[in-house]
Amino acid sequence: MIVMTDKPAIPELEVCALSKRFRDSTAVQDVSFRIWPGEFVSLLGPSGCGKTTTLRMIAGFVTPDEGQILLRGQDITRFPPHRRKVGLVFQNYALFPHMSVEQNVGFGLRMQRASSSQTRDRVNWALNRVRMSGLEKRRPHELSGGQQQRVAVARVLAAGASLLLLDEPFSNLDAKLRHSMQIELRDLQQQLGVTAIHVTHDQEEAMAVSERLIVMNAGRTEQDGSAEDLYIRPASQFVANFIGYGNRIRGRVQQEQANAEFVRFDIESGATILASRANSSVLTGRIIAFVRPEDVIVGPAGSHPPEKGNVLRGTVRRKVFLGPTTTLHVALNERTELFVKIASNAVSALNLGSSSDTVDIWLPPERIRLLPD
Amino acid sequence: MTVQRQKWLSAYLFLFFVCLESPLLIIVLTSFSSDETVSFPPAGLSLRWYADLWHQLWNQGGVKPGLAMSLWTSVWLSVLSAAGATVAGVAAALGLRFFSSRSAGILKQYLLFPILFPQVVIGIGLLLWFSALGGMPVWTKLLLGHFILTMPYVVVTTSASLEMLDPALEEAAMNLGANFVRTLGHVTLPMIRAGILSGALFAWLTSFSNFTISFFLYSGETRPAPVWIFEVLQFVIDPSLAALSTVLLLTTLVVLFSANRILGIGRLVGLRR
Repeated sequence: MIVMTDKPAIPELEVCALSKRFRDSTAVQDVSFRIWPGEFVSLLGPSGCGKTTTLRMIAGFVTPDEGQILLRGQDITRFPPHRRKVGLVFQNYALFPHMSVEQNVGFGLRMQRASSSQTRDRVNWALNRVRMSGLEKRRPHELSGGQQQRVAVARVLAAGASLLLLDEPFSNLDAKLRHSMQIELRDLQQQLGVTAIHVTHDQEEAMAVSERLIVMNAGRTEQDGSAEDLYIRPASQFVANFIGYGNRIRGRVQQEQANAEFVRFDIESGATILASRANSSVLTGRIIAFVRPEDVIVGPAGSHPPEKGNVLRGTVRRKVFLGPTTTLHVALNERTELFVKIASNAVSALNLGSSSDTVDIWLPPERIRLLPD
Repeated sequence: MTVQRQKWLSAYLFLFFVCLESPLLIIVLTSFSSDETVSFPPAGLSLRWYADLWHQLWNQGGVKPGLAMSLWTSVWLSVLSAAGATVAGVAAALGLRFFSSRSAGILKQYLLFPILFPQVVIGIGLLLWFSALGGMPVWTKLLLGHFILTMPYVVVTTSASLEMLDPALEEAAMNLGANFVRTLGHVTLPMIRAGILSGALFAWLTSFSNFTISFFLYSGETRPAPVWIFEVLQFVIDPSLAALSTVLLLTTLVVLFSANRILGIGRLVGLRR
């Protein structure tokens, strides 16, 4: 059988079973992934999850204890940083304050002993690409944050790196500028066809710029996939909670199974709920049923649910109007409360407040995902 | 109220500086005396002792021989030992970074010993060593002595600059293809320039004005200016010595001010890059 794939044969970067222990803690443990040419991938996770250490190992500033790093098939695990040819954009940009914009951008070429005319051409090209032409003679401290970031990007582009490493590149910019720089950087990366690995703790930022996200936690990779994969089919409770918001309901899978399509489980209140097998990563024992607030369907008490089964009775405790959507906090019992997100114009149909706050909640089986408890 | 408080503050500052600088002030005032002997306040003002000093400079004999030679010794000794101390001190400060912060702290304490202990102790120690080794030229002894005394200043100021240096800058240089040496030359050293220069300046100043170590190590005509002053002082006390001191003071001030003009005082103490 021939498997057709649009991926080229050699990954731009391959990280194999990378581990790093610092004196008192394990920073990275058995991390593996592949980055294909032209991809924009985010390493996403909370602080201390090992994402920055991983990036620094790729750049050569941290030596791994175990594992390999392959750049276009070549083992660079033991290469010194200056021989790796990966372009790192630092969180604080790390522009050389004693050099002009031009000298900063030309630094990599000077280190490669390029001729002065070649350096000039390449510097002009790079500054043009980041829309910084005309500011060649400025010093870094005379530039705004966004301009400094552009120079930092031009500097690694001019040096000829085909793999960009971006370490929290947008965290020092204000919200508005951050969005436009994200779009700009993404466009630039696509136009030039370079590969980018982006490290961030901000899931929205990761989803905005990347086609693929690698979620890390406590030194390990939790999940590797597209934003939709991670949102719809989180592999663990950690991913489910880190990406967006969600409801978690404790339960236990029943011994006798419903059928090939669904798995049946009991929740604490005693009700029985069906979940589709396809979405679930565990199918036995104690589980957490995970469902997104916008996937929960709510109707007036006693109304006919769209389908039979998976209907729970609840009481609306809080109603938060957020413009286009409204969040309802629905208590199923003393301990379990669900967050439900509905369109604001559908709230009036629930007849809340007039007679009672009781509502019917329907959990669509195909939207429920069972995760290990 | 604020005005009054400012007045008090000004008065306090004035008194503070008078106390601080009074020894220098009295020397400078005495140097313009028209008296035959050193007395304060001087009976009249004149430049005669500066003329006397000028005369001494070109006459080798008399009661105060060897002034030109000792000034020349001081200049060369201070410049050469400061240069050596700067090279070695910067290298030491850079080397300290390869150790853990704990070991670096301990090593730095050892490097600072020469300025933590009384100079008399260092002087006696050096004297004993040099006589044990035997047959060393006086210049070698003086240079080594001053080098030991001045290097710690360079280590201190350079280390302080290095601690303020953002490690990301050196990493950026390496990331862009600069090896260790080129990173040092293109990024590290230019960035800590102010620390190195202020260390060199302190080293020069320390050497130029040092008496104790020089006193233990000099011999014959090779005696730095402070030692020469001390020796002459044992035989004659006239205002020409005050004039010489004023000239030395002025030289120091000129060097410090021109360094300040080039670097700025903020850079000199390592506050500004």
